[in-house]
Amino acid sequence: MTPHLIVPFGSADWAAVAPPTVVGVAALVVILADLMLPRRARRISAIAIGIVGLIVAGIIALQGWHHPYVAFGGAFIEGGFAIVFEGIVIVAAIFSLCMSYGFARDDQIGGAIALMLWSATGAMLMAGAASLMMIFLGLELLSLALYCLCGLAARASAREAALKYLILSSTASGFLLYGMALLFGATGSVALAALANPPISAALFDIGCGMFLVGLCFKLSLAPFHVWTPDVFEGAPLPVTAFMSVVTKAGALAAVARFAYAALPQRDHAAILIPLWIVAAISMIVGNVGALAQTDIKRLLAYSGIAQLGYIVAAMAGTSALGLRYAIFYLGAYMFMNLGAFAVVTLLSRENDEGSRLASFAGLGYRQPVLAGLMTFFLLALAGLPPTAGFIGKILILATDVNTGYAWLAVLLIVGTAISVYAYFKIVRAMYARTIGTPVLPRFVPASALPWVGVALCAIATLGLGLYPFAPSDILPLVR
Amino acid sequence: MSLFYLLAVILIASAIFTITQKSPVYSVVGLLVNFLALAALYFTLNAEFLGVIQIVIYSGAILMLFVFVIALLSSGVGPFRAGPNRLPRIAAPALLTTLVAFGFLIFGIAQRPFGPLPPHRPTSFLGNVGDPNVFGSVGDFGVALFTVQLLPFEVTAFILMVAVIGVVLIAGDAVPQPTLGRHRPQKRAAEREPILKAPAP
Amino acid sequence: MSVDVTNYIALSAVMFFIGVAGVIVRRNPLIVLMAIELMFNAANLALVAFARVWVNNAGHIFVFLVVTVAAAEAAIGLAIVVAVFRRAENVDVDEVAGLHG
Repeated sequence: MTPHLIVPFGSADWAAVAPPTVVGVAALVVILADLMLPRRARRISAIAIGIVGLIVAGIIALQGWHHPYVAFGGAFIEGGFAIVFEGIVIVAAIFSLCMSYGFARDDQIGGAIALMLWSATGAMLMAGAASLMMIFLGLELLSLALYCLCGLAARASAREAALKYLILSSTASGFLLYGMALLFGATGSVALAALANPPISAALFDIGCGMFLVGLCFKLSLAPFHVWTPDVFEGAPLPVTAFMSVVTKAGALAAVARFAYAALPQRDHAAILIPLWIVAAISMIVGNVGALAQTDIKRLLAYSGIAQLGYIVAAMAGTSALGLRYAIFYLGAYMFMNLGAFAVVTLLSRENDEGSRLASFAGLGYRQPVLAGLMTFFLLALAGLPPTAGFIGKILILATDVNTGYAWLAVLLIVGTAISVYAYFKIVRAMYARTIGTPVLPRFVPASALPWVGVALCAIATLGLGLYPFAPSDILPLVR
Repeated sequence: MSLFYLLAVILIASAIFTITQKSPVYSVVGLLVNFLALAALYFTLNAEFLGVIQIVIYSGAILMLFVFVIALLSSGVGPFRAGPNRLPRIAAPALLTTLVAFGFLIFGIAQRPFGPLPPHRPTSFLGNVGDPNVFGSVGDFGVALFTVQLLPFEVTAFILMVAVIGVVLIAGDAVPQPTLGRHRPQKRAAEREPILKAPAP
Repeated sequence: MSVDVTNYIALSAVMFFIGVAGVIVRRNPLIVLMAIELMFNAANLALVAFARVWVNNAGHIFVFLVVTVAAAEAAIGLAIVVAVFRRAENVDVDEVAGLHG
């Protein structure tokens, strides 16, 4: 007797995974175009195809806003939650592509852009993943592409960073995988929805949850698991660093949020998640204190990212619906201020010099006043000062933490912010201080105007979100 | 019963052998033994298809890759030298934490939460290893892979694509600069044939 | 089937932590990559044992996908080791001193 192969999924299932699929296929088109087009057209064609693919994916994703759909038997759920995270990944990827014009050699650019798009595909799959298998595969797709991208630059330090990233990140994947195996054993299913059923063994379930969260915290670069972040950020090429600083975290945050909000059973919810809030608190302090000593803007932004992710996870403390909205709002705000700062650094970079050292900011306020002004604005936003999205985002997080009974997180957030002001101010002071003996650097004309577009859009968004805070409702994650 | 304990001893001994060797070639041998014992364990758990996969892909393909890289790195630049086994500062606390977690895990498992193994389920049938379409056979596995688990299967296509493109980008054009070795490379990088030939512009 | 599945899980736990110890203690990246393979295989053993307990072949599919991912990861990892080694001429993480944690 032959079993009949009847695929139990139809076109609606494929439509639900259309956004990540479109991005993944756009990467293939980039590779094909790279083979066929003449050498000088490769850069612009790769970036253009990538941006068009991402925009199309975004438009397709928005169509499904009011029609949540559980696709592939619960492996992937398209709905408001997934769409918001997919949108963040798409926007971050577009900005990173804007910075990628001068990145890699002519013969590498097609492959590099394709890897970036595949990495975004992985993050988008994580945004909608509702089974352990899909979370693991999305995360691996995201990470494997990033290992390669980190190793692309010709500098030796970039390859060393890639090796370090690969080893530490794979170890974290191992922890995540073992946690998933224990969860599978405790519940008998790989679907996140099954986690709410009474597990066969509480010990198995708790250790499984712990290892699962350790793996994801590593990818989020929260405090005790953050050691890799500064080195990798410093070593990786600039557009890759910018991409990584948002996309990895958006993907992992989507998985953590779906796990915390929808998958865990209500009864031992708080006990399992307490370590997560403690980790967030440590991150706020460690990230900001670590930022004080840095003299490289990429390392500074790495530590800043650790602290900012601490704020975002702290917003979810108590797992209130409002907290999730504010976490997503702050993630969007963080994306714009952070990518804006990276885009400014891109505009400062020259051949063989990424312009990320503090020295290259010396006297910038007199050499390039517009750029220095914008950098100041982004740094103020990251520090959380008034007319920006960073300020309003922190106020909202403070409010939700106090309301849900996590006032100690709110206090630590204020302490962290106070420390961080010094760290960011160091850059501002370097830009405007009149020092004797500052090397007169040649005025730099960037190879393309694209980073300027990125800087301008990020500045407008940072200001706009600060004046009109907007967090979409109807974004609670689903698991079934 | 005794088969399990024999395999368990081999598995642990070979795993310890793998991580304590000075030379990576010995480690590969340890890992090979480990994977073969693991494949045998899969057979005792009714997972016959995975047992075969373990031998063919892990022992056959992945370990060969390791051997090739060791051979590549140690040829031309003198004998391959591994660094001394130093214990950095973080290693001691990290290992301690690991051991504590290990203790908890064993404690949790030692409570034996699983009762007698269930005999039958409507979707997968347990039977003797080797019978057609029982749990763990190629038929049972394949039907699940191409129906209920279709999406994860499709995603692996992207993962393999990333591996192919990424490896070509990273290693395909690395400029060899062996200055330590007994002999210098025959050709400079620019004179070698490119791995991927670009079409004439 | 006289062996309790608990023994399989305990075995996989021991193997997993041997892998973790290898990653932490060893500094030769090739051996570290092998230790990571050990960790993945320990998880696979746990998955196969649990799949047998629940008679649910989703665990088998998971193992199959993990094997695929591990193959891709090993290929990329070895490519990066080759790239670093060809430049730095010494495969030893401690000697890779350009970056300071």
